[in-house]
Amino acid sequence: MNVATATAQSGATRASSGLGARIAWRNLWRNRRRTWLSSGAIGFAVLLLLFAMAQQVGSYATMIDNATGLLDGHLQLQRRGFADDPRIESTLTHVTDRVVELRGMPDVAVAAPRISAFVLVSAADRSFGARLLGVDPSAEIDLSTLPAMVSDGRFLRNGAEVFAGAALARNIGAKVGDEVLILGSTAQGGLAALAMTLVGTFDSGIAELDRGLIEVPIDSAAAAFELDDAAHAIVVRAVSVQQTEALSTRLRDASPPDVVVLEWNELVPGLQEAIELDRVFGNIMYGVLALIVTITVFNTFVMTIFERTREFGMLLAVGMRPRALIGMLQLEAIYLSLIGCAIGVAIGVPLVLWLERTGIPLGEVSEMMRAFHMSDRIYPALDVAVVVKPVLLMIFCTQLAGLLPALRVRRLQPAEALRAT
Amino acid sequence: MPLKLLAQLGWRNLWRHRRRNLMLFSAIFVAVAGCVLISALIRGYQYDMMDDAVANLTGNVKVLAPGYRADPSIARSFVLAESFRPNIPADEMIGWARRVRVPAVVLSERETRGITLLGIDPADERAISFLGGVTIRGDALTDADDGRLLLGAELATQLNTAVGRRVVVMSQGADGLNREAGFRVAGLYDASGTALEKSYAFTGLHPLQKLLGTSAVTEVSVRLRDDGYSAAANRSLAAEMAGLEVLPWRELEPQAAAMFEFADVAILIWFVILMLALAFGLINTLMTAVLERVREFGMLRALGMRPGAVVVQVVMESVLIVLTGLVCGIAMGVALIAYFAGGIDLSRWAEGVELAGLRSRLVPHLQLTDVAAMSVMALALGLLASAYPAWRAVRIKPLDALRR
Repeated sequence: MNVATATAQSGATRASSGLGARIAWRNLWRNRRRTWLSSGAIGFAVLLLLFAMAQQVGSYATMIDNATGLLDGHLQLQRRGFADDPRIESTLTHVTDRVVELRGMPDVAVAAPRISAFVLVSAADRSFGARLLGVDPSAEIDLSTLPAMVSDGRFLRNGAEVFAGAALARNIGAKVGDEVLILGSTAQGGLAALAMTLVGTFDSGIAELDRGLIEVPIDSAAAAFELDDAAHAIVVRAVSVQQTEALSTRLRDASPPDVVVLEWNELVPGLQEAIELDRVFGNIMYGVLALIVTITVFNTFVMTIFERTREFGMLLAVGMRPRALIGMLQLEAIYLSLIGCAIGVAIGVPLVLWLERTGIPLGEVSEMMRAFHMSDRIYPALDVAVVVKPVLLMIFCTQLAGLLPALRVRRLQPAEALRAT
Repeated sequence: MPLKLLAQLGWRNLWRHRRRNLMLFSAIFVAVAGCVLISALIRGYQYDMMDDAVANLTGNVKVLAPGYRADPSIARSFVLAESFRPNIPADEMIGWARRVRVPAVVLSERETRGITLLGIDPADERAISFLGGVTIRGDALTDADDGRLLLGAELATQLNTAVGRRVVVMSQGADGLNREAGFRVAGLYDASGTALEKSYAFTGLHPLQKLLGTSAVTEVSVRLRDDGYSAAANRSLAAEMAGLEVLPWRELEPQAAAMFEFADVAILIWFVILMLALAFGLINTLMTAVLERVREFGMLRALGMRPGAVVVQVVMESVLIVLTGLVCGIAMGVALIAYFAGGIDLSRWAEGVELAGLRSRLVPHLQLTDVAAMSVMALALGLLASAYPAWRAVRIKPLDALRR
């Protein structure tokens, strides 16, 4: 008796290793159709989740790139209080030295100063209020995508030139080549006046900019607003977005207390929150999809186990430990999920890689999407997380779905089970 | 064989395998309930977009002078008789208003800002635009003759001014020359810090007309009870106001319109995805149901049941379970929508919400056409998924089955 049990037990232990693995695999294929359908469901979920996540990651990257690339950069140095209360006298001093220092830092791709003021812009006899930015023309081209969005004329070179939003130019009745008068107040309370030639207009798709922004060379602005070696912001573009945080910490430590370092998520309010909101929405949808597939797979396991009651009865009667039997069933579940994930990944990864290069055209809505910092195509982005997360999720769900029916095995009485139909 | 009998047979057959059919039912239930809720949330977003665009002083339909959109100045205006009323039945309209809207510059003691200045009749605005719902610190404008200024709270902070103080407003008059006048700040309105609050200022219609030296208006805005009536409203207004541009909100706010259309596509895509996910489970269960009843079907055929009836039986079982899941899922979805009827609080992402064009509370909006579309798709799924199993069932020859 002891020898028999011992042999059976050791047999059972062996069964749950190499032999057990092969048996589990073969069990899967005893009912091909069912295995293919179940793994198909898992593969479908993995494919969809992979694709949706890749598209999300790609879109977010595009939105961040576009938003920071447009005007605000990855981070800005400003005088403390300027962001909430943009007054003309709230400036950074010794700007030239600071900019040189920044340009020397390894993670900094571009750095340039900017003057900012609210002004009255007029041509002929129409006047409009607008925001003026004094920029460094040569640096600005690398810092912002606005100079590339020329709708008429060209961007600034130097001297008495102004670059304005197309809608603004239209509203004041100025065309490229016309003279434009710009009036504002200096830090001392005096009048700042600039008579500039409109050399170009831009069309960014963002109403706030097209209707209310003009750019002039920073030297002209500094002269008119009586700002000597001072600016309202130093705009920095890091080598890549990921380095922003590390860079900003370093800059913060190296700066005096009256200078703040603002990162892009503080400069473009709402973008990060919009991304988070989208992410939450997405997760809810993924959850529902995963739940449905899990229920389907669960159903399959229940059916399978029910059909194999006699077989289990026999195995238990012959001496297989219930734990080993459950282990075998769990192995079947793992194989099933691995097949499914393999299908999903095999279709999903090439698809995403291909679309990463060509992009998904947005068609008619693309013009409108510019206001949301989207370009005219969505480029899904493939990274490790995008592949790993859906796979892990579905493996976990499948295991869970397989566990509950498998636990029923513990309640089986071999004698009754053998008699089941 | 009579359909009713087949239906009864099908229903009873489902109950013979309670567990697995209950599982399938629950998958359909979750999918349908999820569809209903998610489509309602997306619709809520869609209607928020529209509401915002419309309440944002656009209205469902607007009348403008030709050329005003490109050149929004007082030069592009039109004269409206005092007795004018839009040619739209009163029960289709929530209200309408005439306005003068011009770009202007406001100067406080220390700051200058470019704004959009509107001359309004406060009584008309209350019903049709966001002004009806905002909190105001200080006084609201009393009537169309009120010569004070109502500013956004954000704008007032930027200008460093407050209730009771004076500011100077400059704008281009009807004769093309710049006009300016002093205004006392009557009150500050709170529009949740939106872009609106930072750039819109209001005063009485008549004082603004006087300042600009005109008796004309730049726009007439109509708010309808149901946006579906837009096209008809458009037509009657266009006939009534010949020579002027009559535009629906979709043309005036193309970005919002694009997002609006996008929502329809998003809902459809989501339906299809969930139906496909269900398909796997449905086919699996039906196939099992057919294959384990080979003897039964063989016997029925031997007794004289026609092949057509076998097909109908399999299809019937599929349709019945889909129908049950559909009905219960819709009921659950509606219950969930009722639970969230107060709206889902999105204020944690307040600024992101503004960027995306949402409101701080997302209220789900159940659209019956969505429920109908989903039902049709679910039933189609039920029919299509049963095609292969039914074909397999029909191929069962009575003799083969009896030999098992």
